[in-house]
Amino acid sequence: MKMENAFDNILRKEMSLHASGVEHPDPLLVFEARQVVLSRTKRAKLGSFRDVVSGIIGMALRPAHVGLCGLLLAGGIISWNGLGSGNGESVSEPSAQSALTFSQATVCVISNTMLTSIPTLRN
Amino acid sequence: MNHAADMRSPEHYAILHDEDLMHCVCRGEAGAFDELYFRYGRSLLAYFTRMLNYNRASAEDALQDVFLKLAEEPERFDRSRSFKTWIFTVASNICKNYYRFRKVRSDASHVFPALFPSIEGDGFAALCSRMDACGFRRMLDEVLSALPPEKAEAFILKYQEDKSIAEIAAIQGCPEGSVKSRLHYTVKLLEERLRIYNPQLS
Repeated sequence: MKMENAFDNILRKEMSLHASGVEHPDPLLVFEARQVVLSRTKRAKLGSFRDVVSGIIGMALRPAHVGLCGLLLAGGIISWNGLGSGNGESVSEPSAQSALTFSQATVCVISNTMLTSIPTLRN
Repeated sequence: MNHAADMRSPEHYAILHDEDLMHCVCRGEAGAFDELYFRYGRSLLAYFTRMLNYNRASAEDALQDVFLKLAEEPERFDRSRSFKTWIFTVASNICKNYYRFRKVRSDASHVFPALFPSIEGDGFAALCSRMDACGFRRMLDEVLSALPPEKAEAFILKYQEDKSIAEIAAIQGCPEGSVKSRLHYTVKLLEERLRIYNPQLS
């Protein structure tokens, strides 16, 4: 067991970073990747408005949420417009009905006259 | 806010956890990226050097690939996970691609580094020790190069990076039992091959 531990220690020593002889790599190796990170700053600025909004409402704002809100808004606007046009009809309805009633009454009177006159004529 | 982030000093990033640094990278803070490179660049380069048969050029290419992936898609890192495990998982996948699409060859110009720097003096005993150490390391590297990649990787992650069995299993995407058997196989093989340098093992 002791020998195994000793061997384990030797392996650890031999495999250590110090023994590998590898020095810290040149930062120029990742210059391209660094530029990619820097280019993210612009995108982060665009996203900051979204962060503020999501911060206020205390949740992670996702495209699905925005889409759902849009759908609800559109549905609300459509239904409101529908109700508005329905109300307009109900406002103009009484005058049309009254006119119809009036004309029907007139017809009725005439027809009554006619009906009363018909038997007279027959007679 | 972002301007202030750009002006942050390296000392500010030095005290942050890896996971928080990744959050800063998502916001485009190059200082956080530099700090991650400082923390992991060397150990990843050593890992790639050993995994890619001491081909320094391939190792540097692979290192570039890891950090490019980190810079392009930092959102892919799940902050609930350990960054160390994640970065070595990315490195492991890159190694697999190298083995799959490129012929991994040993670099003939690989020079074994100075051995056992603690041994000083020009005496005969010291010279013998140094030669033994040189032979030991050469044999160790030969055995590692000849091993199947998954066995070599498990060994490097345990003995170079000091990772636990669970971490290695997460990196390699296999059960812990497989990691244990890979390590057992490799250590036994090394014991046999390296016995000549340590007669006490026989």
